[in-house]
Amino acid sequence: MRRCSPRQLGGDAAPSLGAAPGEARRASGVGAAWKTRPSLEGLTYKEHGLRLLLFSDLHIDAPFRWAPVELARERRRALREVLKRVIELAEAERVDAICGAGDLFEHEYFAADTGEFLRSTFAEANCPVLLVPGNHDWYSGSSLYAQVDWSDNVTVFTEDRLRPFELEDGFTVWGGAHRAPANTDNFLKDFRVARAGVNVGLFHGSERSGLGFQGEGKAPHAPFAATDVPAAGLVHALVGHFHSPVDGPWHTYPGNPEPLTFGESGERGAVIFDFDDGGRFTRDRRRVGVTAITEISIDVTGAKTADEVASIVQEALAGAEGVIRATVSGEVSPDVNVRLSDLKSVAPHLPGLLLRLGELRAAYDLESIADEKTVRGQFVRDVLASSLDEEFCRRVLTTGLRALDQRQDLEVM
Amino acid sequence: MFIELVTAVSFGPFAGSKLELAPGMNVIVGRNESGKSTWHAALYAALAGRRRARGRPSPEDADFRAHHRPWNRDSWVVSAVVRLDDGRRVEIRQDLDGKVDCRATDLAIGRDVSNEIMFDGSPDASRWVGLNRRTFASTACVSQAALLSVLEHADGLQEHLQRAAATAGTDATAGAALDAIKDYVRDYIGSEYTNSTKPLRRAIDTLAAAERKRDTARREHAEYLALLEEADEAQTLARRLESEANEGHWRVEALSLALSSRQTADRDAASARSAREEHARRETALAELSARYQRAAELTAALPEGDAGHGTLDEQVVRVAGLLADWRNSPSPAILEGPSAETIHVELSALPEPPVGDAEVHPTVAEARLAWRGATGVRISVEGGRPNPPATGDPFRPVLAAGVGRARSFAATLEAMAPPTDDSANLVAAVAEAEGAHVQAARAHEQARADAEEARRAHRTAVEARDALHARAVREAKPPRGPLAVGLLIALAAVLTIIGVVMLVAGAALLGGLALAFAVAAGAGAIVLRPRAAHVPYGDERAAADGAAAATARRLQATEDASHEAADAMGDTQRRYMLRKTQLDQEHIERERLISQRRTLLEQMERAGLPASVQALRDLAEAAERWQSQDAEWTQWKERMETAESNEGTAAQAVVNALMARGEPRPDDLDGAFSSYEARCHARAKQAADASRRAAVETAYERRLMDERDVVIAEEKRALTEGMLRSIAKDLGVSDSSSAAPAALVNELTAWLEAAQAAAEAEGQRQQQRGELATLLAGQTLDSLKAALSDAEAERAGAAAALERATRGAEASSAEADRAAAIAGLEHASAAVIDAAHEQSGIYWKAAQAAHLRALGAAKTAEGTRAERARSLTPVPDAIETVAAAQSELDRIRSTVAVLDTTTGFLQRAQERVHRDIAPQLARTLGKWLPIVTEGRYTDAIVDPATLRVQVAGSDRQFRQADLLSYGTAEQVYLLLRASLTKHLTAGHDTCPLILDDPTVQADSIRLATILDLLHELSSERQIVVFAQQDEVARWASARLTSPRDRLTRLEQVVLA
Repeated sequence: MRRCSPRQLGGDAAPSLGAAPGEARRASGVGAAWKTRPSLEGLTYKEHGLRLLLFSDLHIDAPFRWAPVELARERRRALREVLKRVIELAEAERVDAICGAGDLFEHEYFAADTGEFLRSTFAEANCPVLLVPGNHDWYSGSSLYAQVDWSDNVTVFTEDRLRPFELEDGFTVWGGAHRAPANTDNFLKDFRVARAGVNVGLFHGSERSGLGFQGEGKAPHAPFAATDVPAAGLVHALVGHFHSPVDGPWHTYPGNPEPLTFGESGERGAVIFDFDDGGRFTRDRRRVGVTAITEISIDVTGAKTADEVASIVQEALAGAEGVIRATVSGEVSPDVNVRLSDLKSVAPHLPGLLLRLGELRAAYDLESIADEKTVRGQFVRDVLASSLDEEFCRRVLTTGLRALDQRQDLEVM
Repeated sequence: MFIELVTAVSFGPFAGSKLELAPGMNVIVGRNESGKSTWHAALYAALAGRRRARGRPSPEDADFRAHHRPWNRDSWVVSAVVRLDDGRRVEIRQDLDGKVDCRATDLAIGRDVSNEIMFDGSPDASRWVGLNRRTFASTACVSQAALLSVLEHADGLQEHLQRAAATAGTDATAGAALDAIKDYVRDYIGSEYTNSTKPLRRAIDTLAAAERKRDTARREHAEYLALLEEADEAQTLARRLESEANEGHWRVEALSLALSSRQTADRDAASARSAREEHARRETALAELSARYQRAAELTAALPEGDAGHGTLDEQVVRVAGLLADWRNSPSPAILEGPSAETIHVELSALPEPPVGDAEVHPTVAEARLAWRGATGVRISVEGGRPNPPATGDPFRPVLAAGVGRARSFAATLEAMAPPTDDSANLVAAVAEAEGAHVQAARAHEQARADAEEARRAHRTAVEARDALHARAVREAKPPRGPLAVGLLIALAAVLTIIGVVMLVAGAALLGGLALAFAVAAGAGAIVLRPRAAHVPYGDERAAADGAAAATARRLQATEDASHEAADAMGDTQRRYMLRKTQLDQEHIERERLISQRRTLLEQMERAGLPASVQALRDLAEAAERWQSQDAEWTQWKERMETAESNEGTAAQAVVNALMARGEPRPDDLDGAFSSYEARCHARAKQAADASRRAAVETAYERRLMDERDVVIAEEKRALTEGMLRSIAKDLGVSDSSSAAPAALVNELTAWLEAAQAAAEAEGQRQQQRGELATLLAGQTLDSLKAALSDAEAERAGAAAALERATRGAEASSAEADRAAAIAGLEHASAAVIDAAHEQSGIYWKAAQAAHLRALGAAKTAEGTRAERARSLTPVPDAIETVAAAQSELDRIRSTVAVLDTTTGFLQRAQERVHRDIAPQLARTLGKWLPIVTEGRYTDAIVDPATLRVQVAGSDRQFRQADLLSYGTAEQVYLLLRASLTKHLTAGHDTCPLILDDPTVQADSIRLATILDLLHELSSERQIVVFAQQDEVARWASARLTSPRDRLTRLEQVVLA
């Protein structure tokens, strides 16, 4: 790998990159699904405004612990495909710059060819690409940000404080980098823009008020308050880290464009910003993900045979597509032994199908059995009166009753 | 609850057929094809109904349907009327086909009570007895096969009991369930042992392997990151070194050029300097010649012709000036102070020579003496702490030989093994007392049983009398009026009514009214002749007989309870007796063990020569310990004393050696020798101090000698100069030279000299001018000198032109050299400096080139290593996902293990508890009925709560396993236990009927009667329904079922429609 120092931003003299305002850009052939920007030839920034594409949290090369190995590899291929779609969207929308707000890839897990993939993909873009390292792809000597021989249109912000990049005359993007996987301070603390014109922030951080909506395990890296943005003299902050999209008055999280796990809701993807010369902007969300990840529940209540269970599951999955996690639950005849291995073949059109058993109860009349003066009745009474949690209790009951029925299928999930 | 009526509305071959049942014992007899099995199924279906659920029926349901659904009718309905223990009569209707029209209706109030007994979607009357349609079949229905299995298989009875206790007989025993779980764990889970090949171990190994692979992948990734940095740094270094090498090359080239330019400039500068020198020389020569000509012209004009100087006067002036200078330079003789040289010489002769030997105590001697003093002090201190020597240790030699600790251990063990007291008498008495109590309890039990037996006989007699009286009353009762006549009258009335109405409508009023009148008359006749209940005689006698039977029943219950209590008491006393006896045996064994151990110990002590007394042994051990302590202290002091004396001797020898080394004689007395040595050192120190002044005195002597010589020389020189001054003054006639004081003489001569010098100076100037002119002309004339001047001027002009050319060339070369040097970074440096820098840069360049090549190689190697590693890099995400999958699999198995373990625990506890509850009840039932049904052959029974194994005993008190008894007895025991189990399993609910299918089919006539008698006995507690095909059963029933509570039903062969 040949090293070419990324564009280093230091001092207060902001470099300027990219085509001159109004320069015609190469047309893209993928704009059918996306609206395209009219020709800007001959116009200046003051006249046509400035258009940015923001994306973040792609997490290329992330592991998918919930998926089997083959499916996980497919998911990683999808993440790379999404980055290509981001570039295509930028072409179609004729944006003035692409802004990556961190966690582009996984520093701990990146593959040997990831650097070349990123380099060649961003080199395809006919506009400046501004990248800020996040907490998963923090900047260091061994980082791909430092190792990759980036094309001239790519600028990586490498300092742990906001540095200026004058995208156009009078329009400056201030970017900062995480230089460690944790303990990065608020980029906006004690920061104040030192130049006129429109100033926009680009970094990876946690807006404090939104932290509670991001689910468990979201650490507050580089925490900031939304009000820090105007206080710093920025008209808006383009931020990454939160996977759920946020359209705040002072900040925008695009969200992870391609699903990383189940239960991710909201219109996530890339965000197209149109700024005017006064810093006023409009934003428009675009879907760039290539996969739908869906979680469904299948109720097999009433099934009296394993075949009936399979039929119900097959019917429920008939119209599904993408990655599906189906939870089979309900109350079935005590004689039915539901085995996931038997259900794997019901949806051959879904290679990304994950089946799991939910609260699948055997339809024992526990009240009646508990009324018996037998060991079975005593067993049911004792288990029901125990402090076992509900799920474990159900499994113990079914196992014991199956054993008393002399059944061989004693593994109850 | 008992069943009054079963109606096969549409069931199997039946359509509207009814089967009435009595509350006591019912015997339903019929040959093959008489519909016994169908009625049995109809009875069960009418009571329990069928499961109502979606989907395909279970195999059992399908089989039931195939056997009992009418094949020629659309409906499949059966109903039953039952009377509950609370007095309600309920009709249960089961629509077995559609399972929609299923209900239970309270016949008294017409209310639907289905919700009380709904089970699996349809009413199930067995819920009233605490069962359900699944357990009812196995609890209340006794099949022929079940009876045979008990009779024909060892442990069949026990297994049946366990099965009934576990699942009311529907499924496996609890033991089988536990075994199934155990087998499952063995086959599908396995253990965590490393040699296991089962899923649990495999999952653990898989996870461990996956974790190792993940760790390897992470490590490889980290190493890859390091390789990236290394490769990057190597490339950076190579580029830097390449730049440096290029820089070095460029610098060498620049310096080479600068050197060449500088050398050229230097050469041009040298040429310029030569030209400048030539020009200067020409200039100087011109100037000199011009000045010479000018001066010569001036002197020629100024000097008169023929003038000469005065030689003698000049010589005198020089001489006087020299003498005066000598006089002034002659110093006045110094005036010397202090002792003269002679005095100092006398003092020098008196000084002593330096001493030989130590002038102060030598450190080796001082240190040796100090060490000797210290060693002596230590020896005296140790000597002062001398302890008393120990006495002889002979008295406790055996203790010492055996070891004090072991002796003490012997004493402690011996003390702990004190001869045990014999408390066996008390225990023997306690055993006898317990045995006596047990005998008494056994006797009381026997008495109670005898009382119960007597009460049972009395009750049987009373019941027989009552039944006989009832039978007699039934036989003698007046029959009711015939219902046929009443029916005919009603039918006649109805027909006449219709005719009357028709005639009235037709207009025949008279005939119509007549017909209606006859109809009214026929109706009245039917009312008068309506059936009335039969009159049964002996009302008072029957009431008395019922009362007597009830009284004997109460007496029987009381005596049976007393018998049970006595049996329990006997069991308690027996357990107490066995406990006491076991205590006595254990006490005896313990005492014998202690005595044996004590004997062995004493033998060991005797062999060791130790006394057998604990106190004597302890005294000896204590004395031995004291002696050991004294002996150790004495030995320790002797060792310390020897060490101190040795150290003192060594230190003294060191002092002797040190003194002799300083030249002292071998001393006898160390302190005296040291004092003498010290005094001699002091004397030598004083001598040395005196001798040390010699050099200073010698120097002072030599300096005084020189000073005195200088004074003599100065005086002599001054006298000589004074004589010469007087002589020349005399020659010049300046003064009275012989008498004038030297100072006056000098003054006069000085005045003369100044006057002479002024005259000489003027003459000298003229002489000098003449000489100068001669020099200037150098033998030439003034004209020729002028011509030479013109020539010099021409030469100077030529040199100036050459100088200008050389200067311009040198300046150009110098500028070029400066530019080249500036480029090379050596501004204004000389050629030598540039040459040195050039040489140095060449060396540096070659080194940089080599370093660059090395770094380039290292960079290529690092990049190759990185690329190689990249090709073999294990994807970390894959490894993480593999670990997650393996962890998930292991979690699943461990979770299953937890579930199975928990289930096993609950099942075991449930089994123990239920068995504990059932066993006493089974034993009580057997104890109650067994003596009756076996006519006293077996009187007692026990049931093991752990295994439910049943054992029975006769009067010999020898318990035998119940299923190993004769078939007849085993059958009786089984039926009793079934009744007892039914009672237990339905406790707290309505009384459960017992339905038996051909229970006597394999029995001979004696066993048949015995079984039926037993069932008849049991029918006093619950409804018994027996389906049978044997005529003997019918005969037995005809003879014995005389009570209204019983019924014999004969089934006719079914006629297929």
